Amino acid sequence: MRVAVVGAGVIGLSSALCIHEQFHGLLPSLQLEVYAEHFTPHTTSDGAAGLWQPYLSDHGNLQETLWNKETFDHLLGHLHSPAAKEMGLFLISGYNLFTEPVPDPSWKNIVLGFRNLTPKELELFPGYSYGWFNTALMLEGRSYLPWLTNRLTQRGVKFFHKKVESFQEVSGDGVDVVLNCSGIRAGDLQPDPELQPGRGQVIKVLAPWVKHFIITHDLKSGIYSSPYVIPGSEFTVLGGIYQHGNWSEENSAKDHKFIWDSCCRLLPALQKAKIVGEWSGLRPARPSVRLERESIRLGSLQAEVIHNYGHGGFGITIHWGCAVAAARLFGTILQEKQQLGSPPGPRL
Amino acid sequence: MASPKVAVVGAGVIGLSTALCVTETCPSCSVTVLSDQFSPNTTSDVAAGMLIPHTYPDTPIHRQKQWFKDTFTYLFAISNSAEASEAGIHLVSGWQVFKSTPTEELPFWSDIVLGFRPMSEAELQKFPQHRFGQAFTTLKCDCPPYLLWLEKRLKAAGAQMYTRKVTDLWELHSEYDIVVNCTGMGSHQLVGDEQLFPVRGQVLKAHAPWVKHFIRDGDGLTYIYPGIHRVTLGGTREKGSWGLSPDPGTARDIFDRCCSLEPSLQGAQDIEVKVGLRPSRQCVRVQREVLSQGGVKLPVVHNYGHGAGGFSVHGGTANEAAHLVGECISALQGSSSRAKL
Repeated sequence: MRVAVVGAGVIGLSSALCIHEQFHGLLPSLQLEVYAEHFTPHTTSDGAAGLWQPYLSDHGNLQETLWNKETFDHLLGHLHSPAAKEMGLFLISGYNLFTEPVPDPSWKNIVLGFRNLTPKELELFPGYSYGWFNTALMLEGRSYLPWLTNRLTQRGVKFFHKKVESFQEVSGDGVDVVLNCSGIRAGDLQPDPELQPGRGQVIKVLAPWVKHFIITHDLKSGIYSSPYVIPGSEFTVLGGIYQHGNWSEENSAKDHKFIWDSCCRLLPALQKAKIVGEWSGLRPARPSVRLERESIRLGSLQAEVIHNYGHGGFGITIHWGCAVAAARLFGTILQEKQQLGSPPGPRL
Repeated sequence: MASPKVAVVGAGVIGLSTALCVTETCPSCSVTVLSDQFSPNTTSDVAAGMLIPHTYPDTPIHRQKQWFKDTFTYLFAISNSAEASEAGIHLVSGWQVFKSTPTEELPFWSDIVLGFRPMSEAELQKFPQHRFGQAFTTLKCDCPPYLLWLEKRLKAAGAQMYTRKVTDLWELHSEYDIVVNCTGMGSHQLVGDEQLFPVRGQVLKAHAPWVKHFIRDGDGLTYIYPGIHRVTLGGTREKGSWGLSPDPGTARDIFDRCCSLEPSLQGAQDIEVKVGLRPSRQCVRVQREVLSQGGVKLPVVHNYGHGAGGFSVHGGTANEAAHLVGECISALQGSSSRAKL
C-alpha cells in the first residue's frame, strides 16, 4: 500500500506521521512517501511565528473548533516531555487588544487562564480599551518541522524533493492514496477558486525582554492586519499584514514601514530592537478547511485523494486535529479496500 | 548651605536608586557614590530582581505596601517606555504554586501586581505536586542592565562615582555634609548593626530562552525567573551563613528542584553559579542618625536591611531616604543660620 503525501509543511508532515503511527502496525506493507517543492526551512509553516491561536470567530464552524482543541490538548500533553524543546514547544502568555468590547472567542476554554484585561493592564496599551489575557502555546515551525521529519525518517518514510504537477503523476506511478497537503499551491493540482492567498509579511527582531505575545485587532480591517508582536525562543516576530488575493512573496517596503511603525507605537522599547530578518508568505486562506476524500478517475485507474488544505493563518493551531481526521479518512479507505480487519475509529 | 555635599555609600540597587532620588529631590546637592563594588559585582547583580515582595516582620504592612506600590508604579512607567530594554525592566507573567494551601489567601501586594487571581484547575495540572496557585503579572529588574542604567542617569545628573572602601562612616565627615548608608550587608561591620544578618542565597543563571514565565514555589525556596538573556534558578535561604563560594551539591539540588517544576529546563545551557548574601533584618532600617565626635556632627541617613525584598521596595525606600536627606539639609541650614546670629 503506497501513500504519497504532497506537501511538507506542518499539515503534510503531521498527517504523514499520524497515519504512519496509526496504521503501520496494522499494515506492514504501508509505504509512505512525501513529495514537496519546498522543505523546512523554506515552507510557509517555517515563516509563521508559531503561536497557537485560532481566529476570533469560528463562524459557526464547530468542526474546526474541535480540531483546534484536539491540537491544543495534544500539544499540552507533550509540554513536559523531553521532546518539547526539540519540537519548539513551550507555553506563552499574552494579550489580545481591541478598541471596543467583543464577545469571548470560541477558544476561551481551550487555552489556559483566559480572562479580560484589568484597567491597569490596559494602561500599557493606549488606544485599546478592551482585551483578553490568556496562556497558550508556541510551536515553532523551524523546530517542529525538523522534529517531524526526524520522526518520519526513523519510521522509514521517504522524502522526494519534487513539485508534483498532477494527481495522475503520483497515482499513475502505482500510488494507492494521495494526501493532498499542498497548502497555497493546491490550486495547481486541482482548481479551487475558494483558495486564495492571505499574504503576510513579518520582521524578525532581537527583543528578548519581551515575554508576552501582543495581538491587536482592528475589527474593520480584518484578522492580522493590525500590529502583533510574538516572542519566540530565538527572536521576536513583528507582523500585522493580511492581504487577501496578493500572491507576491517579495517583502514590501511599505508593509515593512507599517509593521515597524505600528509595532513600535505598541511597544516603544522595540525601537531599540535589532532587525535580523524579514519574510513574506502566503497563508492558504479558504472559507473553511478542505478536509475530505475524493475518488479521482484517471483513465482506467481510480485514485483515492484525501484533501487537507486551506488552513489560512491557523495551520499550526489546527494541524493535529486535521491530521487525526485525515488518518480516519485513510482508515475508511483501507476498510473499503478490505485491507483492514477491524473497523476504523468513530467518524467525526 | 549652598550646595550640600552628600555621600552615598553603596552601589547596589539601594545605593544607586537612593543617590538618584537625592539628585532629583535636592538638585542643588552634589552627590557622590562611594562603594568598594559596582555592578556586576554587587549583591544586586546576583538577585533576579523580581518584584515579588518579602514581608518584613517588624515593618508595618501599610508602609511595606506603600514602598512596593511606589516601586511598582515607577518601574511600570519605565517598562512602558522606549528605555525599557536599556534599563532592563520588563513585564513577566507566571505562577506562585503551593503544595499546601497558604494561610494567607491574598498577599498584601495582590492588588498592586497585575491580573492577580487564583490558578484554575487546568493551570494547576502543570504542577502535579502542588494543590493551589496564584497567577499574576509583575516586573523584573534585570541586572547588570538596571544598575548600569541608574549609573548612567546619575552621571547625567552630575553625580560622581568612586571605587572606595569606607571602613568607618566618620572618615567621611571632613569631605561630606551628609552620608547616606546603603551598604547592605556591609552595615554589619560598618555600623556594628547586630540585628543585620546574612541569608545566603545560591542561584544558577542559565540560557533557556523558551522559558517565558516565572514559577515560584510558595515556600520561597524554589523559583524560576526568566530575565532578558538568562533565567535565574533558585535557590537557598541559609540564615546566618556568610560563605560566598558556590557549593556544587547545592547547585545540583537547585537544578533538580527547578527541573521538577519546569522539566524543559533539562535542556538549559551555559549554567553559571552565583552566591549573594541577603542583608536581612526584622525591619528595613530607613532612619536618620547624627554621629558626633568632639563637637563635630555628621548627619547620616540609613537605608539598609532589605533582605530578600530589595528590588521590590527599592523605589519606596529610596524616596523615604531622600526625604530624610532633605530633613538633614533643613536641619543643617537651620543650625547654620542660627550660628550666624
